[in-house]
Amino acid sequence: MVIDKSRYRFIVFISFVVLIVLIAFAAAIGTVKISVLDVLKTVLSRFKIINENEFLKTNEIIIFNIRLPRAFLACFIGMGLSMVGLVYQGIFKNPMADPFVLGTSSGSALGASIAIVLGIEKTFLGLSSIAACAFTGAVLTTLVVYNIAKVGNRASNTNLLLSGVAMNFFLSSIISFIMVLDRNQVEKIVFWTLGSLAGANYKNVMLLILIVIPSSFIIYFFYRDLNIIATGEETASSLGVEVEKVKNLMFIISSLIVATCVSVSGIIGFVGLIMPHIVKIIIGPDYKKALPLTLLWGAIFMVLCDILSRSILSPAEIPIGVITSFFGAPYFIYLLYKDKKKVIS
Amino acid sequence: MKDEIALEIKNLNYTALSNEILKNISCNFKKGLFYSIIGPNGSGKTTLLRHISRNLMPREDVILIEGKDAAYFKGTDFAKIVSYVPQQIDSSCTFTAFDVVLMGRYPYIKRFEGEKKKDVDIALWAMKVTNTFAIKDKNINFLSGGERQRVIIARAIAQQGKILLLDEPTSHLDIHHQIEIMDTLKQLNINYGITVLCVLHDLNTACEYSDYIVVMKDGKIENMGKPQDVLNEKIIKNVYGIDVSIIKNPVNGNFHIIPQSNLKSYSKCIGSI
Repeated sequence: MVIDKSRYRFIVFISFVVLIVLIAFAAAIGTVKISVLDVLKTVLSRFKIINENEFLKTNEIIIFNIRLPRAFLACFIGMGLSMVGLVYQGIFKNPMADPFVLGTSSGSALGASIAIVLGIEKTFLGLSSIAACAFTGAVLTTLVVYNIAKVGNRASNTNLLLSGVAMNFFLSSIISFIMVLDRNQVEKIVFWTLGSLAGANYKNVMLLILIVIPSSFIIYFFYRDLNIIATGEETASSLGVEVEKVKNLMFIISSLIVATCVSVSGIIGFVGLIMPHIVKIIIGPDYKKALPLTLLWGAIFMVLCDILSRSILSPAEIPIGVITSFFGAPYFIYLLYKDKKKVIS
Repeated sequence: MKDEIALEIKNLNYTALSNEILKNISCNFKKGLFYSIIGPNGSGKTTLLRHISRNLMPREDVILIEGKDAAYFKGTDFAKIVSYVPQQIDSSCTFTAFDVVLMGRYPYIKRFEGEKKKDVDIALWAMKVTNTFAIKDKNINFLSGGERQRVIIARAIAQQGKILLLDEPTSHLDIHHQIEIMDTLKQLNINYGITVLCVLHDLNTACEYSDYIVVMKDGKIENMGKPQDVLNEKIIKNVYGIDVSIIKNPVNGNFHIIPQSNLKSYSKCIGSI
């Protein structure tokens, strides 16, 4: 489908507005009910734009210290993971590629678990050793999965999925084994494997922003290379695209994003699967247009899932990974089904 | 000008998994001519082409493009001289034909810049000369095999290279589209002086369109020359192991090769009816 410029801009604008409204909703919904209007009033009074009376003080604490950091965390994790999904789908030439399905997330969770159990929780130049181990795990797993699946220059759908799933099981079993070995740390590791946004604070949000925003610019400047690689690596290199260099750069950036997301929220599955795919159906495969929209829609999806996870069984909270998988897994099956129909026809 | 050498290959050897695929290949390709590379399956035609296109990186001082060592080119500089048309492009992508052709301008566009009007104009020109202008807004997935092949050729033309490499451009096409593609290539060759190197399976197509034919067998160049010198019964028997009769095309006098079945009795049987 071809969409002209003004319509594309309109879609981006609307998506942005929807995202802002959803974040306001996320700040309004919870055990203490605050109306969306009050949320707006509180935000405005906080920045001294309007003067409001004292009763909003408790609201202010709830909104600014608990709900907003959490909403922003959801927002940037959604951006990061969806962006990685978009990049993977192009590089692997596979609509089912996603950091969770391919085992990258489990890899970084394992790296983190090892760091926790060995007790190397040090920070060096502002980077925690846990995050570094998570990053290493993410890179190694991606490379191993891709190389197991690769036949020639291309990883076929089935091979990639199977090796990703196998790797996922293998890594999860190691994580479980580590949990059994070190019962003192079980709680911490469970957090990593199930995924949760409950640990949100502004430090986490800043870390994610520092990783996700620059990464998205780098990926954006490689949109032409990624477009050409999607049409075939052999033609890409004959056009002068440095395929291996671009791919390695993308693997490193993707692993960095996944590792950062996992290190603040644990494994949240299937986020990178749905949004990039739907964006490409609507906007077309051009990375230049698909990337900004994937970021916005990924954020919208994640904030929405977070709202659902907190409101369905309120005051209890459903783990966010459960919600994302509830949407993601059926979509995954739908993709498989569509692929099957293509083989028959 | 025609005697200038566009491409020189010196002692090209290639071994993969202890199989010698190319053995000591040396030859010259002159500027502005149409070359066909023929030979049986597994004779190394595609591997030779992939070396020239640098999909398999050649060693130093083996392949010279206009006198310069291909191993030392920057990727984008090389793409400004040599363009390559693979058998098929990945069918899972959903770009429009125009988007695909515009990708041919990649070597000319700097990373932080967008496509300029000149690039768009050249892409449109490439679509006109390959007769794909009418389908420019269609999704390449919905094009027929022949149309898609022409779009990929248009992309190669948009690179504005002087040497065009093609790997069996007509292999999946019916005769109508075969003729259309080959005519397009011949026109590009004549009108714009582009040197064409084309791997072909069909001997008659090769005969009809080429200035020179390269015959390969077992990773070696068996013969290289004008079609009427190279394609005779003896050489074809030697390379392909079949008997052929050669007649002249009644319209233009070019050679026409008719392969003969090995079942002699069968043909006699038909003859007696």
